[in-house]
Amino acid sequence: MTGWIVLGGLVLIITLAVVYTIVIYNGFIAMKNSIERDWSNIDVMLKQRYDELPKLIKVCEGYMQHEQQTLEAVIKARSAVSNSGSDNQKLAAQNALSETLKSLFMVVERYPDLKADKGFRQLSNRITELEDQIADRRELVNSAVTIYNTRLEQFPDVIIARLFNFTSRQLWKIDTAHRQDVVVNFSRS
Amino acid sequence: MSEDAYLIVDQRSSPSPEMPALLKELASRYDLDGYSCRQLLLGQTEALLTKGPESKLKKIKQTLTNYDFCCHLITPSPLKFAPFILTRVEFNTNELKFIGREKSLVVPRDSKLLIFLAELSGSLVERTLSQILSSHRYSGNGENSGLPLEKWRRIILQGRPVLDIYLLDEKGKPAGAVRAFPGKFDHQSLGERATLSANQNLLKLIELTQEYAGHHRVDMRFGISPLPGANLQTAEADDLGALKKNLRSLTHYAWLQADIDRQREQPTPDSESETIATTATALLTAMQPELATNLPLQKEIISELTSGIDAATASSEVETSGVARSQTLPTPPDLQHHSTWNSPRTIIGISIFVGIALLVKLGNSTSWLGPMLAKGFSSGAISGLLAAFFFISGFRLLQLKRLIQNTPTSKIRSIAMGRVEVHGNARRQYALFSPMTNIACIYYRLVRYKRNSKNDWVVSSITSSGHVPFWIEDETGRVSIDPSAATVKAGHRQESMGEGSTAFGGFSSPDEKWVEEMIYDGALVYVLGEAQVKRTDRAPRLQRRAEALRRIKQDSQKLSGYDANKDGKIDENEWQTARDDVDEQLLHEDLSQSDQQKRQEDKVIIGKPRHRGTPFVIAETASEAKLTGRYTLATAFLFAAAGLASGLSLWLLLQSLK
Repeated sequence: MTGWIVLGGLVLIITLAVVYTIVIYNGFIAMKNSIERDWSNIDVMLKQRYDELPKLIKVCEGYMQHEQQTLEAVIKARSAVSNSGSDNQKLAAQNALSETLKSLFMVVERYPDLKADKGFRQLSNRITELEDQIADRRELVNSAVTIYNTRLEQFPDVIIARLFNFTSRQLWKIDTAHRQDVVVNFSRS
Repeated sequence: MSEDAYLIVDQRSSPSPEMPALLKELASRYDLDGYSCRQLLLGQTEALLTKGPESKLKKIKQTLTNYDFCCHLITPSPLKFAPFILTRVEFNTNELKFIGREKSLVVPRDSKLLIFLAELSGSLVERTLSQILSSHRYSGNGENSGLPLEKWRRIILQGRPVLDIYLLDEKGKPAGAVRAFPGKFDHQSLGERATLSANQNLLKLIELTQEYAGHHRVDMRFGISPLPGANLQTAEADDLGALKKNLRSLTHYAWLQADIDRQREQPTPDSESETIATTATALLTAMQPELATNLPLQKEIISELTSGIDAATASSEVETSGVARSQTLPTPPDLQHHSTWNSPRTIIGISIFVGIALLVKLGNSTSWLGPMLAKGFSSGAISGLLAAFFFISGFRLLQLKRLIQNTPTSKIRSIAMGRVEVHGNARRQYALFSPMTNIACIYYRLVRYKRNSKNDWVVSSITSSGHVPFWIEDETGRVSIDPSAATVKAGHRQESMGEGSTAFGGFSSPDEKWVEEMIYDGALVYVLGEAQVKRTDRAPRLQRRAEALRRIKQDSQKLSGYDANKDGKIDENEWQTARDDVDEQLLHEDLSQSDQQKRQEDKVIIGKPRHRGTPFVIAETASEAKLTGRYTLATAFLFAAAGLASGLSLWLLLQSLK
């Protein structure tokens, strides 16, 4: 009698453990795919920004005759994005493009006619909007990665993670250069 | 005074975010029941919050004042007289004289008056109050009062109207009172004002009184204010006892109103102007129905009446902002009936129901079912099934809990299509109000129960606003939520039964009760669902591009425009130029469109996931952690129940095998 009860209890515990394992495993898989999706969603925004840059440059060219250097920097950065191969290269190229765009918008302050141009206003608003959304989605990726990495180290998830070789993911990291204070030079180049 | 003081509050139509803190404080410091207090603090009129020693009430009053509630601490005056019945009126340039059989009341010009137009039967109020309040809120008429005065006046006149006029002395105490019933006074004494309609004559009497009144107020709220001794009972036409009781209640109500008016602490210009505006509206609607429909003119007159008080308009705007906002909101959409017969949940539910019904039927007619059920229990099969049920439920809840924990919260500005989790303040898209408590909400579910012959409560109806979309907003923007098919966890639940417990003075039957769950407008809400692009009439960009290129191909004139070398053919480079032009044109179209559709709310909607089995949760909660905490407890309970049921099942099995 006691033996049966012990056996029944064991079966129950094992069943619970198996179910819990399934829940944890499925959770890891879902999180992993969710992180992949979040990265892809950033790519979607980056692609949109990439596609709209030539139009912005075209509008700017008409006004910014003296800022060829800045415009060329944007064009180069854009090309670098399309030519980059590895993930790290892509990341660096995207960061560089964001940086050159910031420079472009700063320089635009010197051209009131350009700022008043409806097409420029629309495009710059659109690109700023995209930049904001890209930043939000990067935050979302970091949140997703943080949850995932935390789970990897938590008990009892850590057992399943080690058993099925789930490894930690990298957070989106900003270039060290971008952590420095921005120095704005108002003198004309 | 000490033991008989009343603390009366001016109710609010919707709860403020500080309401929970106030209720908590009232409960902890003064031992007042939070649920009852909430019922009494919300509404359209005044309510007796509590009574007792003045020293204690003063402290409660101070607490309420800290939360911006206007309240009045009064000692109810003993009833010194009741109004006498009016038989005729006399008037000259200086005074108005109400004459009864034995008494008379002289009202000199510029006297202070309180005028009560009331309905005595109660049944009309019961039948129409809820409907009128809802339609008023939805259609949005009337600006200075929480009640639709014109409609209210019409209801009163359709029932058993009565008019009480109280003359107040310099201190605001009743000095004399008269009561007029339609058709019971000499209408010829009204002079040129007299009409052939008894009800119209009652209104003309108000008009005449108004001419002689200085500071005055028309009150038509008898029956909807939960004040002591002022309850309106439903009375049949021939139930003279009930009608007399209602008349006594009206007298109580009038004396209380006089006390409240007298005890209002140094009325601010705001409240004074509001009173005047409300009074003006009431009078205008009562005296001149045609003016009630002419809102601009009505406003003009009200503005004139309140012109001496600078803060009037601002105050009125602040006070009615909740209502005004609701007035701009559209009426909630009607429920679209979808066929749910083919959903797995419905099929399983019907199967279980049919199975149980068959078992019950067979159990009555056969001799084998009873022993079989007994055997099922003694062998542990039934407890085994229960264990499986608890186990599966716990497993599903655990999965949901982990899904919520594993999904990061998106900012609304940048939500991507697909599964998404957002957290923010819920805002109404439509003028939705809870049906029983009449509170602005984004979701409600009302379950009504009726007592059956065995004195058990049986569900008589279930209604919900589960099809009415709402907004959720965070610091970056807002997005539309379509709650159809969502699992909704409302944070507030109210239930009531019997008389005196509804927000408007108790019209429900003691054989009925209701339970109302709701999520207030402005509450913090968590949503886990699927973000989808809102359907628009606009074709996808690729399709528009192909269409534009096709049009160029079909237009020889346009086509020749791209023939740069004039050889009569469009080569690859020339066609590329055409494609670039089309792309540029489409980009400008999109940009101008995005100017119009800048906000996320115009582009995205969060709704039911397209994949079956994916959860769609809407929960009122301050944080995700609190929500998952609740799920953890529920999961633990279900697993514990599963364990116990399994143990019982095993034990029974072993016993039966012995």
